[in-house]
Amino acid sequence: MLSVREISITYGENPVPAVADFSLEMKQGEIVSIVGESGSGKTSLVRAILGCLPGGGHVSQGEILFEGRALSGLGPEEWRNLRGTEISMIFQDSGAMLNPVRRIGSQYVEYIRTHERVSRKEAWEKGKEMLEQMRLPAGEHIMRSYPFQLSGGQRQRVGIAMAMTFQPKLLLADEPTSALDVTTQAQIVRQMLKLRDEYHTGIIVVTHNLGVAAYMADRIVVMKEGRIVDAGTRDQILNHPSSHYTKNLLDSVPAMGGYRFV
Amino acid sequence: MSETRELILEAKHVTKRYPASGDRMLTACQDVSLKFYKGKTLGIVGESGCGKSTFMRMVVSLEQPDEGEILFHGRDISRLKGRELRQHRQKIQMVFQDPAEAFSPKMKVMDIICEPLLNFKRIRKSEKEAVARKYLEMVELPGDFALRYPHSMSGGQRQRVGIARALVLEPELIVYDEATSALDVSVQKTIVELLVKLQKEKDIAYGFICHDMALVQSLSHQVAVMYLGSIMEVLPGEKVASGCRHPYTKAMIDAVFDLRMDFDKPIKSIESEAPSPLDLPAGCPFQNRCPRCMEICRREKPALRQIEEDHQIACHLYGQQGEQR
Repeated sequence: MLSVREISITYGENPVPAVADFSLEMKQGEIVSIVGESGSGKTSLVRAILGCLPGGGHVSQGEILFEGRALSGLGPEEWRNLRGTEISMIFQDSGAMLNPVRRIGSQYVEYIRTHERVSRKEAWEKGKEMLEQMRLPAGEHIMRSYPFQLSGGQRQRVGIAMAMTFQPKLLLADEPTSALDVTTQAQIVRQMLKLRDEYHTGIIVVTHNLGVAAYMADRIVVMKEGRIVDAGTRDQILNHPSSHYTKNLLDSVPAMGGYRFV
Repeated sequence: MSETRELILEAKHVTKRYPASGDRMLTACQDVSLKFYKGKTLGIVGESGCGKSTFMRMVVSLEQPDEGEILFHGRDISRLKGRELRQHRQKIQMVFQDPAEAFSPKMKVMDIICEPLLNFKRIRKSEKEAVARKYLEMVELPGDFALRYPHSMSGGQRQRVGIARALVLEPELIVYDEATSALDVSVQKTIVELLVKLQKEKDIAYGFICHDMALVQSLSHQVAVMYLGSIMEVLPGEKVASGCRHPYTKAMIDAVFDLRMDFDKPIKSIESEAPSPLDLPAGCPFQNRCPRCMEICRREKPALRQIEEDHQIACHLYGQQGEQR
């Protein structure tokens, strides 16, 4: 479904690429976790896949194929047809993605009607239904709320509901649970795993939380300074990491009832 | 164990409320009683909005409690004012979550580290650089960093400077408010190792606020679990993983993603979210999310009581002697 071939991403005139020689093959319904510390280029990578690198960033080498089609040559119209329907994204804080002075409902209806020719009423019903599927009770109430009236967990569910409206083949999640409390994090992780089971969505999760990455993923890619240092199935990475860096990273994660400092 | 410990600070029945819109009150801390011992770490865990930061801000005298008292070596410090308060501040210091925000970007590292000392006229200006170098080496940074600015340092290095600044006045208690949460895990580990080393050398008491249960239990002598402004359970760090009793503590542990967990087992977590601290329910604060809620929980708020040595719990499931009902 998705094939990333030896891409490099550079920002502006900076000769050092943020991501270098990155390759990834992904099948439908697969979950891949990309882990790495800050500055390892993981966010640049998912943004490149969605064609929305921030100012000055561009793919300087290699290509990204989605269902056999190169994404680099797409025009604005073609991107519009792809984003939000075939490929969608969940951000760290979905609240920042929403317009603070408009109610959820009006934004949701606008989003649906951008991609599909339906009436306002139909779009409203569809939005409400998606919210309820994402375990937001009282979808009607959420639709009539402003983003600031919702909790972080609720906003993140709204973000996931919007991203899943058109049952995309590929979902990109950039630190989807990092801003949430542990109990809410567990709820959202469970929700995302259900997406794969129900809709067969392929998911790329970018996170610095190795526990979440390991729990969700079929495969894990470890990045450091823009390069892949380790890649393999969850079992390979956790139990037989090939690089010293991965080993060190795994050892640094505190565990319940594990190593004690005092 | 308890007879060898020296009590430094004790919070007794501390309550803090803030006025909210529409004549309502937001209860951030309700009847919180906790103790800090010399050379020991008290960790506080809880979800956002549970009042853990508010409590610690009262401990460092940034806020005043509405009810209750905070005793530092037996003296109530919650009502101190003016000169007395200023002198007292030397004894308790704080390290913040984001050191980039906690420093003035226009100050050199040596000015940042030595400002508390100059404020209290403990050193002369000419001694600044030498003192800064000494403390930088204490937090395992090169002494030359004294001449740098905070922006030219990494997050982990900046946090070390934050620790150095807290250390210079030789306080008896340091409060860390999510001091490692913004750091990468490998950096977090090195910072925690440094904190533990410094604590052993100097016998300082620590208060450590964090939302990461696994981290808190790994570095704390005692862990207090907070929920909606109330203490739910207080227990030794090494007992958290296997010996916790409160349904909320258990729920939090179930929601931890661990590298050694069974990945095929579905992750458990309580559904729903914490109610707003604006309208606290009568009875137990955890009642509407608790899997074992009973009739009494809706009527009566359980008091925090001792069930074993160093183990306190506020739950109706356990009787006076800690036996399960």
